[in-house]
Amino acid sequence: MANRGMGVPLVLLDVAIGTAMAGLAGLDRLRGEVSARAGSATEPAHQALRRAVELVPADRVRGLRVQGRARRRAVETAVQQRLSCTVPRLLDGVLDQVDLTALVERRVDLDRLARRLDVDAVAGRLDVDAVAVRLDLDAVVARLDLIGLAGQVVDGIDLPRIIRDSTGSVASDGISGVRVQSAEADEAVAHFVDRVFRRRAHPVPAPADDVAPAPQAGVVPAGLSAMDGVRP
Amino acid sequence: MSPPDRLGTGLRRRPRSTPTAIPVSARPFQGTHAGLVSRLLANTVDFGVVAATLTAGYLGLAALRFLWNSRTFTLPRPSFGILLFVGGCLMVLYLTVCWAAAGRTYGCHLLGLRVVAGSGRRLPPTRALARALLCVAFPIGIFWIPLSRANHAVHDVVLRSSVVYDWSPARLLL
Repeated sequence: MANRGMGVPLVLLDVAIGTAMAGLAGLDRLRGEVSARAGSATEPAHQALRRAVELVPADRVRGLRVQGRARRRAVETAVQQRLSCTVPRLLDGVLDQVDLTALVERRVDLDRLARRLDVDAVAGRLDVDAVAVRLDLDAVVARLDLIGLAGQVVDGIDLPRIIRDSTGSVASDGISGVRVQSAEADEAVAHFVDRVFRRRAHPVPAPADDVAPAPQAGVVPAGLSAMDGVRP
Repeated sequence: MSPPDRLGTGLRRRPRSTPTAIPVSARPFQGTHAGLVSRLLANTVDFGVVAATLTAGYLGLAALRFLWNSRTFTLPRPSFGILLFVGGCLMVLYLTVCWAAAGRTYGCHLLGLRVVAGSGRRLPPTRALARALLCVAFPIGIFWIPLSRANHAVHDVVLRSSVVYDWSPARLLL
C-alpha cells in the first residue's frame, strides 16, 4: 500500500539498485573463487619478481628514486600554485553569497565565547591615557552638580565652624551653644506641657539630611506656613 | 522636563542644590516654630537693648541740661509714668523697624529667630507696628506659647504671625 504513494521512477530506481547490488555480490564471490584457485599458480611468479628486484644494483635504484622524488615535488609545487590562485577566488565567491553575520548570530553561542574571554588581559593592554585624551571633560564637568558636591564637602568639614573659628564673628560657638540649648529647652517645655495636659507627644525633628533648607529672603521653607507649623 | 542628554550616555543633569552655612546641629530646628524659652531670651535681650538706649538717652539729656546751666544742674527725675511711656514708645519703634526691615530684632538675631507673616514672608510695616503695640501692651501674651500646638503667642494668633528658627545670616529686607 505504501508503494502507491511512490512514483514509478523511484520504484524503477530501487529495482535497478537492488539488481546492481546483487550483481556486485556475485562478482565479489567470483573474485574470491578465482583468487583461491589462481593463488597456487601466481605465487611462484610473485616470488620470482621479488627476487628479480633484489638482484637490481642499489645505485640504479637510488637514481630512479631521486628522479621520482624530483618529479613528485614538481607536481606538488604546481598543484600548490594552482590552489593558491584558485582557492581565494573560490572562497571569495562563496563568502559573497553567505551572510556571515547572520550565520554567526544563528550558529555561534557568543555568550559562551564571551565568558571565556580574559577581559582583565584586554584591559591590561588598553591604553587608558589615549582614551582619556579623547574624552570631552568639559561636557562631563558640565553635567556634574558641583554646587551639590560643594555642599556635601561643606557639610563634611563643617565649614561654618571653621569660618567662625577663624573670623570670631558674633555667631561664635558660645552663641551657637546658647541657640541649641534654648531650642532644646523649648522642646522640654513643650513636652512638659504636653504631659500636663495629656496631649500627644510632638514629632521628633527630621534628621539633618532631610531638613528643609534655610528660608530664602525671609520665607518660611516650602510646606511650612507660619500658622500651621509644629514644634520641633 | 529634564534637560537633553547631550552625550547620549543616558545620564541626566542632577538638580542643583545650595550649600548652607547652618550648623548641622541646628538643621533639625531650621524653619520650625520657636518655643517659649528662645523667645523669652530674645525678648530679654531686646528689653536690655531698649533699656540701654533709654539710659543713654537719659544720660544725654542730663549732659545737655548740665551744659545748659551747670550751676543749678540736678539730675532729671522723670516720673515712673513718663519713663514707662517713653520706654514703651522706644520699644514699639525698635520692634517695628527691626521686624519690618530685617524680620528680626537684635535679640532674635542672637537667638537665631525670625518673625514672619502667615505667608512666610516678612511682616508688612503696618502689621509690624500692630504686633509691636500688642507685644508692649500685653506682654504676658507670650505665655500662650506652651499652650498652643503651633507655638503661637497671643499676638501671633491675633495678627497671624509667627516666629521661626532661622540660623541663616541676617538679611535686610527693605
